[in-house]
Amino acid sequence: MSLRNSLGSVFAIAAFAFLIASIALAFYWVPTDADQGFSQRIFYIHVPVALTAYVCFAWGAWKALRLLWTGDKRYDLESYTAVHMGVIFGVLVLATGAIWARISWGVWWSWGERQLVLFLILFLFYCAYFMLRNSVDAGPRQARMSAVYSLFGVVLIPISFLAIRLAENFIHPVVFTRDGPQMAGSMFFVFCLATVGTLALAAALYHVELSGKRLDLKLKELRKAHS
Amino acid sequence: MTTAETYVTAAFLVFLAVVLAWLVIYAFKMRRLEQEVRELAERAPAPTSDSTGAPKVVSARESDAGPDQESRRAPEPVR
Repeated sequence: MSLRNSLGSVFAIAAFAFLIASIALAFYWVPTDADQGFSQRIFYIHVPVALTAYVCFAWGAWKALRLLWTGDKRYDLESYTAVHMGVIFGVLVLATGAIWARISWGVWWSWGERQLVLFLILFLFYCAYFMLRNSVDAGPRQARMSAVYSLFGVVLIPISFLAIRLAENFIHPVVFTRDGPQMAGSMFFVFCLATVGTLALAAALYHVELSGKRLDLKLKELRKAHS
Repeated sequence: MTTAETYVTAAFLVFLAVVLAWLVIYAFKMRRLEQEVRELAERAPAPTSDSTGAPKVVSARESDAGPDQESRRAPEPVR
C-alpha cells in the first residue's frame, strides 16, 4: 500500500471516529443553548462544514499558486480536486444554513444578510470555475486559466469570513470574537471535535478523488498510446 | 419529536446524504475505471522475454531455486 493510500485510510478512519463522537456528544452531552434552544445544535455541523469549505478553497488556491510558480502540471489536478471538494462542502453550508435559518429566523434565506449573500457569491464563483475549466481544451492553457481563476476566488474568503463582523445590522450570530469563543467549554470542545472530523473527511475524500482523477488521466494517455 | 429536533436531525441527515451521494458517484466512477483497465489489459500484447517472441515459461520450482540452493538445504541431523 502506498503512503498516499494509507494516508487516505487514516483520514477516513479519523473522520468516522471524530464525526460519530461529535454527533453523539452534540445530541446527548452538550447543554442546550439558553437563547436558541435545541436548534443551536446545527452549529456543530454548519460551522465546521463552512470552515472546511474555506480550507478547501484556500488549499486549491495554494496548489494553483504552486502550479503558476513551478509549472508542474500535477498541481493543476490537485487544485481542481480541492476546488471540487470546496464546492461540495459549500452545498452543505448552504443546505444546513437554510435549515438553521428556517428554525431560528422563520425564513429559508435572507437577502439582507451580508454573510449569506457573500458566501453564495463565493460558492457561485467557484461553480463558474468548472464552466471555465470545461470550456477550454485540456492542456497548459486550461491549467493556467484555472489556476488564475482559483487565486482570484480566494480573495473572497476573508471578505466572506469578516462579513458578519463588518455588518451593522445583522441577525447572523457572532460566536468567535476578540475575547475568544462565546460559548461553554463543553460546546467549544464538541465544536473542535466536529471541525477536526469534517477536515479529516474532506482530506479523505480529496485523496480518493485525486487518486481516481490521476488514474483516469493515466488511462486516457494509455488509450491514446494504444490507438 | 419537536420541530427543533426535526430540523436539527434534517440538517445532520442532509450532511450524511451528500457524503453518501458522493460515495455512490465515486463507486460508479471506480467501476468504470476498473472496466477500462480490464479492456486495456485485454488489448495489450502478451509480454515476451526473448527475440523469437515466444513467452518464456518459468516453473514455480525453477523460479524459487536460487544459485545457492545447496547451501540453503537443511543440515543433516547429527547421530
